[in-house]
Amino acid sequence: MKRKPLGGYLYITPLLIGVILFSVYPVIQVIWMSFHEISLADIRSETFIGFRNFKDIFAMEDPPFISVVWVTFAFVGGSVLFHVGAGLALALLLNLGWVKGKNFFRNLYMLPWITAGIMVGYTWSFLFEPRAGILNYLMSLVHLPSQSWTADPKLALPSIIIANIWRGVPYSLILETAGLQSINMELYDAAVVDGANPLQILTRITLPLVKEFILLNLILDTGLTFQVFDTIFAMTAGGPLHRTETFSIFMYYTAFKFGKIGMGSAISLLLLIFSLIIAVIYIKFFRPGKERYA
Amino acid sequence: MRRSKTNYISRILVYSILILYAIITILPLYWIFITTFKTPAEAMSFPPTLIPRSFTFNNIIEIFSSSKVFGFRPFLNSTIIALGTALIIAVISFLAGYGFARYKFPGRDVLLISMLFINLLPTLAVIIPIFRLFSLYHLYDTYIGLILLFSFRTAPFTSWLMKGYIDTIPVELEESAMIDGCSSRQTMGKIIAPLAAPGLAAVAVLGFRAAWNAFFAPLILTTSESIRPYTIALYRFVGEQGEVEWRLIAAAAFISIVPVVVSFGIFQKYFVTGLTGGAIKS
Repeated sequence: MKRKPLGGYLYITPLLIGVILFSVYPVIQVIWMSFHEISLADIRSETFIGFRNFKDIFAMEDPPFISVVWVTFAFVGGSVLFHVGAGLALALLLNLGWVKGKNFFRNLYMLPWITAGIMVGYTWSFLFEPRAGILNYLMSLVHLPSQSWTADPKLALPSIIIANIWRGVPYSLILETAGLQSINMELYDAAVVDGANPLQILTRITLPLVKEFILLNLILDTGLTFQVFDTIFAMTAGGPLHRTETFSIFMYYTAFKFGKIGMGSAISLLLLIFSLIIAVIYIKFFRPGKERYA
Repeated sequence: MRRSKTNYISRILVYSILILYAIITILPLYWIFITTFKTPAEAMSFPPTLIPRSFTFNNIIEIFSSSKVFGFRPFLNSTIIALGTALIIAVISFLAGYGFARYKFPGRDVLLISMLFINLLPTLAVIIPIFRLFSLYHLYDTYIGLILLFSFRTAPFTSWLMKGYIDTIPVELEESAMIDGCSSRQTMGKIIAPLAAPGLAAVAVLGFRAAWNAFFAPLILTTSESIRPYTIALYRFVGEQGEVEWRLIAAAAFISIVPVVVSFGIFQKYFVTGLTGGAIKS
């Protein structure tokens, strides 16, 4: 169909204006702000200080910068691995023709994802609670020693990862299910007629076709997990001994508790660069959309 | 097509996995659910009771009574913000999705990839400039500030989603409508919008959820009780308490989950069945 190409711009204008105001402009602003000293008490004025904010971040001792990096990567890595793995596995099982109660299972699995992150945090704090919590109670039934979980420097990070895995699996499940459902059923019919077995159908038809959705899933989930704040904030608030202090918590404290807006911007910029690197890697390697109808 | 026979053991295995994960999913929520309706004494008892012995609505009533906890206002604030976001996001994503799906214009592919990039930029990383922007332009501590922020931070993703939906609607349907004398606008309103309704519903519910559940942005961008959502009100309440009262937190969590469950429940079939493939195939 012939359409005037300029018409397309008209439809995307509202999106573009919003994106410029709420994403592009703030990104430019955050770069500029990270080279200035700005205090929360007087947000309108700033002093240019070059790279001092970055030097301060790297030289920081409480917590050391490397600790924040490690905690963030452990949190993101652990979460995303289980999100995508479990999400894909459940989506594949629920895509089997003979499974009954598909909608029941799908809707049930969605529940953690539609629950507010702060509520997920409180819910798991409650489960992990040393005295009244159900987890220690269940462990006592099988004669395991009770733990202080989120208050224990060793167990705090695994605890928040577990809570976040629980929260994020449904999101991967939705994406993978959408991927599986977008596959033309005639392909399966043709494969069955040609005598393919279930394993061949999985490896030769399903997986190559959902590759794009696995990629999209990895990109989006990594991006989302990097910014998880509420669940961690509710469970540990970064403690004990900074053992669960991710970039997000660290940035919040720097900018809004200690009032160092300039340094907070510098942390934001680092976070931004990490996100961009990940995005570039994924898009370079897999180029979403290009192989879709190949 | 003949029905493939699957053996007994693999069936048991598959159902076991599905049921096990269902239990993992439901157990924490079940715990919140029963604690919501427990009396204070039972809620604090040890060992915890998995099957409640008492039943009371008092915890929910306490949440809504402003003298004891934080009242109804924070929930009203969240409702206004979430509905506003759902509406704006549906309109923007539909328009952008249509533009991207149906027009080949210079820079289209670059813009599409840019939207993926922008979706990946954490809101967290741009919240400081937005905080400053809001402070300078009187959007700090307002409904509209939060609505615009949630809408436009989610729109790059939902526009992709809408583009995907509209891509699956055959262009031929529009062409024949145009031959029958429909204008381009009429085609969009009368042919595309109804067929894309599942996508629109999905996008609106996603926007609602994003705004309803938000914590970080309102923590930084609101201050007054007449604006702040229930997530912040609960956080402040927990902070002000000397001793954590789990029954009240559980009740607040339970109340907050209900609207999202209901909205997902109503639009559930749109998420599951997707587009009405049958009508288009022929």
